[in-house]
Amino acid sequence: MLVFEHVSKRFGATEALRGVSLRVEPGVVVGLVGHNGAGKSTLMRMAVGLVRPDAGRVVLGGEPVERLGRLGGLVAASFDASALPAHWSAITAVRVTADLSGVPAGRVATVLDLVGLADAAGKRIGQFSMGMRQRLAIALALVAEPRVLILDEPTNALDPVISHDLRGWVAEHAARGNCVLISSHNLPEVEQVADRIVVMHKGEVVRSAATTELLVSDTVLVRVDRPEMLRRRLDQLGRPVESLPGETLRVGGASTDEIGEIAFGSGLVVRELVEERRRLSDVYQMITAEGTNR
Amino acid sequence: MNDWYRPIPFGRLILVHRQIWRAQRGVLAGCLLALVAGLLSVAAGMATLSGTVTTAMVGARFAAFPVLTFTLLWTAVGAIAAASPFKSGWAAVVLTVAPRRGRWLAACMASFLLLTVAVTALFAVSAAVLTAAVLAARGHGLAPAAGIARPMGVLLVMSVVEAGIGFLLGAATRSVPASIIIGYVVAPVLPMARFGSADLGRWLDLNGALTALSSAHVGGLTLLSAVTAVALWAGVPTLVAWSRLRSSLT
Repeated sequence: MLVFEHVSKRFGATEALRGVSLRVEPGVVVGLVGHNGAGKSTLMRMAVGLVRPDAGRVVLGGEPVERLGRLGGLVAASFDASALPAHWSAITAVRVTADLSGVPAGRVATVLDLVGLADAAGKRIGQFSMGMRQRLAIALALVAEPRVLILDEPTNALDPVISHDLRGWVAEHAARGNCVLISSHNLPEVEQVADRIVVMHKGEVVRSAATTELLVSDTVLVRVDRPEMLRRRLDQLGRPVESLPGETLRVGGASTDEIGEIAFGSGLVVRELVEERRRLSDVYQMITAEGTNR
Repeated sequence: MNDWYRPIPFGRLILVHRQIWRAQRGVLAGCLLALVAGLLSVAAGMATLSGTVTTAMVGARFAAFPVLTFTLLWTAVGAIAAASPFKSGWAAVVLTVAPRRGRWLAACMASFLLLTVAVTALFAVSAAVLTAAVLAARGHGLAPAAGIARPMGVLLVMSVVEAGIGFLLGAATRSVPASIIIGYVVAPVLPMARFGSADLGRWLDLNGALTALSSAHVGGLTLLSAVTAVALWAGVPTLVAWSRLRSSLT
C-alpha cells in the first residue's frame, strides 16, 4: 500500500503541495486529475524518492520511502518520457532498470515486446518519436512488475491502440492485488480506468471519491412506449421531468426503482431505464471551480 | 519488506554502470580523444629524438610530453561523466530503482575510475608498441623503448587523479563548461595567489601537493599545505556534490 501522510513541498516561492494525504490501496486504480501545476507530478515523484517532502512522509508497504535501499519490484514509475537519455538505446534503458531490480534477463525482451518496441530495441532513444518514448517509459515502469505502479500522464502521444492496451495492463496489474496511481489530463480515459478519482488543485486534494460515487447523478433516463403519459404522471407527483429525443425522459430526484414502479403502475412498457452518469469533465470543472472560489 | 531495506550491492551498481558508460557517447568520445592525443604525442615525441637514444632519454621524453597530454584531458572526461546523469536524465532512471543517492554516485565514480584505468592500460600498451615501432623505423633499435616503462606508475596515478578531480568537479557543478573553467583556468592560476606578503598559492596548489606527497621526505609546513590543497580539490567538490544530491530531481 502507498500512503502519503500530510506531505508538503515548496520550490522557492511556489508551494507545490500543501499537507496532502492520500492512500492507494492494493487492487485499486487511483486516478489523479488536476490542472498543470496542481502538484500531481510532485506527489508522484515523492513516491519513488526523487522529491523529498518538506513535511509529512510517504509510506510504502508500511515503511517510510526514505529508509528503503532498493525500490525494484516494490514501486516503479513512468514520468516525463521526453527526459529519457537520448544516447541510450531502448534495450540499454530496460536492461539497466532490470539489472538494478534483480529481474531475470528474459523479462527485458518480454516487456519490450509488450509495449511494441521489440523491433526498435537497439535504436537510440533520441531517434524515437514521442509515442515510442512514452511506450519505453511504460516498459521501464512495468519491467520489475512492481507492487505499486505510478504512471504520470502515460497516454500523452500514445496512439489509440496502445492507449487501449495500457488500460488493459493497468486493470490486470491492479487485479493481481497491486496498487496503481495514474495521472492524466485525458478525463474520459481516467473515468474508464480508475476505481477512485482524486482531484488536486493548487497543491491540495480537493475531492477524493470512488469513481461510481463521484459520477453518479440523481437523475434517471427512462424510455417508454408512451412518454407523454409517463410525463403527466410524473408531473402529478411533482418530479422535475425533461423530454429528450427518442421517447426518452430525464427525471430528477428519483431512483430507477421508483421510476420503474411508476411506469409499471401506469401500464407502460419500459424499454430502457438507467441512472444518468455524469461526465468526469463536468464534475472536474465544478470541483476545481469551487476550489478556485474558496 | 525487509529485503527492500538492503541497498543494492555496490558490485551490481558498478556492473550496471559498465553498460551505462558504453551508451554514453560523450564519455566514450573523451576516452578516445585522450587515447588519440596521447598516441600522437608519443609518435611526435619519439620521432624527434636525435643522437644516441637511451632508455633514460625515452623515459624522460615519455614523461614530459605524452603522459602530460594524455592525463590532461581526463579532467574534462571526468566532468562529462559526472554531469551526464543530470544533463541527459539518466540519474532519474537509476535513482527510481536505487534510491541511495550517495551510494549511487560513489559507484558511478568508482566505475568511471575503473574505465580510466582500463583506457590508461590500453594507452600504455599502445604507447609501448608505437614507441618501439617509431624508434626502430628511425634506426635507434628496439632496446631504448624499454625506457617508457619507468613513468608508467606516474601515468596511472596522474590519470586517476585528474579523472577523479574532474568527476568531483562535474558532480559538484553539474556543468561541463563550469568544471572545465575551474579545472583548466582556476586551478593553474590559484598557486599564484598572494594575500599581502602571505603566499596563499602553496595552500591551493594541487599539482604541487601531489608532487610533495609522492616524495619520501615531506613534513612540516609542506605536508600541511599539501594536505590542505588536496582537501580543497577533493574535499570541497565532494561536499558540494553531496549536499546537491539531497535536492529534488525534477
